[in-house]
Amino acid sequence: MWYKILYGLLVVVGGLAYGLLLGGISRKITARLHGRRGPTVFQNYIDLIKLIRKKTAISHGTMFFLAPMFRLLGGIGVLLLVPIVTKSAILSNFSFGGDLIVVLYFMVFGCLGMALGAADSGHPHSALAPTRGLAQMAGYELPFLISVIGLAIAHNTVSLGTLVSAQQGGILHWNLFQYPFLSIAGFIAMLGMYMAYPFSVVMAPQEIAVGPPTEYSSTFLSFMFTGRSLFGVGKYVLFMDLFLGGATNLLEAFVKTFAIFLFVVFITGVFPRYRTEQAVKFFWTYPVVIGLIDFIRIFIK
Amino acid sequence: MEQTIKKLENIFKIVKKEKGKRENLNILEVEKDSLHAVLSYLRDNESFKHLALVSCVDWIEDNKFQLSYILWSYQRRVNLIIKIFIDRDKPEFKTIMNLFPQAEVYEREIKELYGVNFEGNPTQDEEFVLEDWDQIPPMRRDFDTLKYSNEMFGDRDSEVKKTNIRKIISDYTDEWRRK
Amino acid sequence: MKDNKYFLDDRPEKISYSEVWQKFFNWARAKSLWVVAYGTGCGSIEIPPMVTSRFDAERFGVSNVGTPRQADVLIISGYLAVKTLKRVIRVYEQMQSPKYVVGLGACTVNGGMYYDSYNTVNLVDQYVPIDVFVAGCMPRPEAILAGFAQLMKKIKEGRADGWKQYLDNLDKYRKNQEKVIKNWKIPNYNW
Repeated sequence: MWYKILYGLLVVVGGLAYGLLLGGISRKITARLHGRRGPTVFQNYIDLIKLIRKKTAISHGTMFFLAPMFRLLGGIGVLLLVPIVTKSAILSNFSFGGDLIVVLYFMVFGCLGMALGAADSGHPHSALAPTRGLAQMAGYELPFLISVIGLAIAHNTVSLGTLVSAQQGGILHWNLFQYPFLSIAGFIAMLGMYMAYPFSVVMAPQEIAVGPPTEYSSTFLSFMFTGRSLFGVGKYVLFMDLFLGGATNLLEAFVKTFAIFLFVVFITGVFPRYRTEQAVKFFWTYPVVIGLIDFIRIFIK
Repeated sequence: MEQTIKKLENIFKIVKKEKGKRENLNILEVEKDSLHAVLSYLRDNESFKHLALVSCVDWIEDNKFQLSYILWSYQRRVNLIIKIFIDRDKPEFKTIMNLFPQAEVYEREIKELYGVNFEGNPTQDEEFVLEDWDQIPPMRRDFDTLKYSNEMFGDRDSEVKKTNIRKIISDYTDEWRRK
Repeated sequence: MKDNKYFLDDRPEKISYSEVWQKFFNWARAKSLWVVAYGTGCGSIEIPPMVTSRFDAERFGVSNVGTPRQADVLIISGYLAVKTLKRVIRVYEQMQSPKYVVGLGACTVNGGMYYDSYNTVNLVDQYVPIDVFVAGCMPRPEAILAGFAQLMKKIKEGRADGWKQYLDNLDKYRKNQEKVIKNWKIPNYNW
């Protein structure tokens, strides 16, 4: 129905505002951990406004232009497919029977677009970053898929809506407590997805300048910025749906996603950085082994 | 240290001995033909294993360049400067890269800034600091840096330059004292 | 724009903005200044204390980026040798408009203590347009922050238009640059 499109736009705009605010809060918390005052929590909005109106005069070919769009599309796709509030007309989004599979596809799609564009820009730093990024993606996809497929087998569904409704009825029905080992694997994989600090070798600030977007400027960068914020919110909502029992009203959704966000920020604030091969080795040992415990338990049952 | 200098005097001809401004600094002037022999003797027999610096001085009045080789002994913690004089009209000398390989960079620098040619140094003609330099070597004393700087880079024609800043400051402090 | 060219060899077009939203965007520009991390002289040692815990420039929206493409501000930190001037010009031209330049120290004003040096550029604003000078030898981080406050004020009032002047008077700047850089090997226009 046509008003679904309006609802979708509303979700995207709201998600962007929330994502930028979360980014600002994370900058503030990191600054306080350093003993600084830090920027205002609205700094990311200001950065975005500035970037939109910067001029650009560089060209590196077609793929260079398309990559920020891929990133943006990946972000919007993830955000629009996960149900934020179940059984709500607006906020259940475009959730349907097989949405989990499409979400998994979109999550890889954004990263691949980014890698293609970065490699096309011709800068050695941004060509170095995709090799690291794809290696790390190969690392975290394994524990993430183990945890997601484990849940899908356990509840016998690939629909996020069904997964959420299966977790209703008290805090102990959440997958976090029903399948704790799968949850640990999933949350460790999430740290890799956010390129949070132990696994930040892709962007690697101070080491390879700013990583993939080294050659991107002005409007392109603002698209990437937007895409990343939407992607971030989408993934917080996805993990809320998968492990924390979804949300029945908007306030609950805010509280739960903010809790997951704080988990990421505090881990980011205190850890140094793994090298690529160390990160991949870490992902393929501890979270995989931990996740397999529950995986096997589900199969035996 | 005196013993070392005495031993050196027995073997080589020391033109002049000087005491440095520090306790552990001595300066010896030797003949330029015997420099390699002196350096290798000091390096192999007297523990002066470290070449700290090679530097150059332009004695334009005597029409000479002075090359100084500053050595350091880790065991005795003393500096020794061996200096030689070469002709300013024909600034040529032999490299000491066979004794101290790190002298390559110092000699390259001296070649660029003073124009002294070190025979046997393979990289001395590469650019060290200056790129595309077309004047005489800039550290020679007959090169007028102020004139070159004014011609090349200009100067700001501002009121600040014409005003007497010392007078302004003294006026200000007088006024401040009166208060 | 042409595809598959790493340098645009064409002369850049002059940029004109519509005036309607200018005030709002100038406010955003002033509040979010990204500085390219490129130290040219001794003054770059004053930048790390400025951005870290002691003086914390990030509370004014000033933060570091590693690449000139994303940067808004280029800090010329101290004396500028001819060799470095070439790199500064390239970095400046790779930055995207609007862009601002801050000159730190007496050396960028008139050569400072190197006024008679054979290798130090005396008047930096002949080669790249400079929006704010910060005097001192070297200026302390407080002084640099004061300079940034001045720059923000200029941007908000719309007076920080050095990048426009650079595009308008490109021939004059190129003539000055080519006088000092004798062997011009870099591409003519590299934006």
